[in-house]
Amino acid sequence: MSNHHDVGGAPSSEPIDRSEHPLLPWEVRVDALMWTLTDATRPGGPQMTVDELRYGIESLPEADYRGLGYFEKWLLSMIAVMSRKGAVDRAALDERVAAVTRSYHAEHAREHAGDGDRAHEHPA
Amino acid sequence: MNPRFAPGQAVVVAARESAGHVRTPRYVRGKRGVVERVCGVFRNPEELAAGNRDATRQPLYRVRFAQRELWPAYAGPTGDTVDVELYEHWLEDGR
Repeated sequence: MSNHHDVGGAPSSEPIDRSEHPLLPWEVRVDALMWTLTDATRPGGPQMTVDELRYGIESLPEADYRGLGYFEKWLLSMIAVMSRKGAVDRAALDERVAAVTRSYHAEHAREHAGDGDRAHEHPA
Repeated sequence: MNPRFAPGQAVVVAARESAGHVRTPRYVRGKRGVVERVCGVFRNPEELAAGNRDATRQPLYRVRFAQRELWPAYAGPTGDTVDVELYEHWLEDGR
């Protein structure tokens, strides 16, 4: 296994960003989903462990590991683990993501059309 | 499961390579430290990470390392230390 996640002691010229980031609604949902999946009081035991989550994150390609945000990595790991266990239908998920992406772009295009109209009414 | 090491005892972290998920960062492997406390006995995260629901149990220790032991070029005060929590199967007797 690659060791790109084991960065302790690796030199870096990048300053550490110590600022607090307010959580976005989808990040709170990812967190809630993880709590649900790891719930030890669930009949039959937890669906996955935090150790599987960590291993899934460490198994991400190096570019993803370095480039994605904290909860993005959580989500990709959860999808990988739960797909492997057969609890997530990967094809159905991909289909749903494509549908949401299409509707987002359609909505975004309409908003831009609206921006154009307002710009005419209120010239800067 | 009785812990093999006690607080104050010198230990050496195994210098071996690893596959899969482990909680032992490379920067402490092969380094000497002292047991600061026994944290308890927990299921082995390496087995849990592989999806093993019947993971074996391992004592977990908080091990204290001198910064100079980990980073020979460390420029801070000599007494500076780092505590790392490590499972027993990664530790050897350091006496």
